[in-house]
Amino acid sequence: MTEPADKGPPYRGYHDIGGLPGGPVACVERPFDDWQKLSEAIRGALEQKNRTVSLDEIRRVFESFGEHLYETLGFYERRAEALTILLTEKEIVTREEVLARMDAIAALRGQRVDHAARTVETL
Amino acid sequence: MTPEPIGYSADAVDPSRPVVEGHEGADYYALMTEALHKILLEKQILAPADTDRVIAALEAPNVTWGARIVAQAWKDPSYKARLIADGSAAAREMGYTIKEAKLVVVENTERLHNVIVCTLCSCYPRSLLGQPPWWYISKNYRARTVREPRAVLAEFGTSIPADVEVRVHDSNADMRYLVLPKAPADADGRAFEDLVGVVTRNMLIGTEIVEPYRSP
Amino acid sequence: MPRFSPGDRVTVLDLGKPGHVRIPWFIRHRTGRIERYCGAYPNPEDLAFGRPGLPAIDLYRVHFPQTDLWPDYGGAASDTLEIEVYDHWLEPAEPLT
Repeated sequence: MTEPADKGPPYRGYHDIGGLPGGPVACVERPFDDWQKLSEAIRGALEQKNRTVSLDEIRRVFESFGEHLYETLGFYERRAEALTILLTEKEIVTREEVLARMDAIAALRGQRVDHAARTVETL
Repeated sequence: MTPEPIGYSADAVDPSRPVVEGHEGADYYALMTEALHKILLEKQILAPADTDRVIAALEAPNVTWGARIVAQAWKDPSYKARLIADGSAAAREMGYTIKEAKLVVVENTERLHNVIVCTLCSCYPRSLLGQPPWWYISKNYRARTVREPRAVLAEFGTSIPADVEVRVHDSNADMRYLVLPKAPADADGRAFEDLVGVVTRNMLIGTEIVEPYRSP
Repeated sequence: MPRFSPGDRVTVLDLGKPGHVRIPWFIRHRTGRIERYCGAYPNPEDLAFGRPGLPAIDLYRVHFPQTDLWPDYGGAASDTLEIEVYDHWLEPAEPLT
């Protein structure tokens, strides 16, 4: 049998984790928080309007936004980051206006946002 | 056939390195989501009713829908056959519309136990069962279930005898999966609603079973 | 007319393409058999970039013995894995003699 022409080591994206070692599967429940529902609903609503965004595009973004974010952010956080990146890519919003709005809302609440560290602290 | 070990391209990170689960950013992304929503409303790209509608659709499905489908299959062999042949159509018979491309129902038997995972992200029959449990979307589950399913099942207290095949389904593309658990031995004599109460979400994913297997 | 039928032996290619693909690394270069034809769907590799992904691509479920996927598989010899693979990632394999 001839070797397939493409035979060589397979490419593996950082999200392609089937078969990698891992720790115990914590059989715990975590709530589906309101902000997480809203984040998923924004994507879903935009999908329903003329397919402004799609789940395939969201996946492509979190598969390419870098391994550091993929390893440090939680699941819904990754999707929310991907949504903002995608909407910026499509020029529906700019990242600057989203971050500025976050700062404005935080200020009203006596909070400060650290965009580099992705944290919100109460002053 | 002994498979050859696969090498990895220079771009791919060493696949022997364990997965890393992060939980950072909750407050930050909650704030980002709020800011984004307000901006989209102000630009009239979305109306308030748009996300309300999607949230209601996210919240409506629940495990009982899947449990009722299973109980029906346990009571009615012809429904079971239709369920396995076309899961979406059979779900619709019970009043449930599958919004994903197709529902594939895989049947547990005396000789076969099925378990579902999505290694690439979190694909799950959300339009039937609602949101997946946290552990299903965790990296440890996504990574280990395809490679050591019996060890993962053992963590759920589920032991499958060595003479029963464990089949893992990686839900990686357009299909969505539901496990049809093996009916309890006394299913025939039990009422439908009673059987609905037997079925848990984890049985529909395949990490739990209804009754222990008989020893070989 | 789909290229493959249930029972056909197929090998998963490694197309080496970056971008969004739905074919995990651990089945590439592996040989299994077609379990069923799933239908034709828009190509997610194109949908991922906002393109329509048409014409739709045939999707199959492919069946593998676990001992063929993992050199150190620690479960039962009869354990298996089934997964969805798009047509362009598959080539025919020799039938087992």
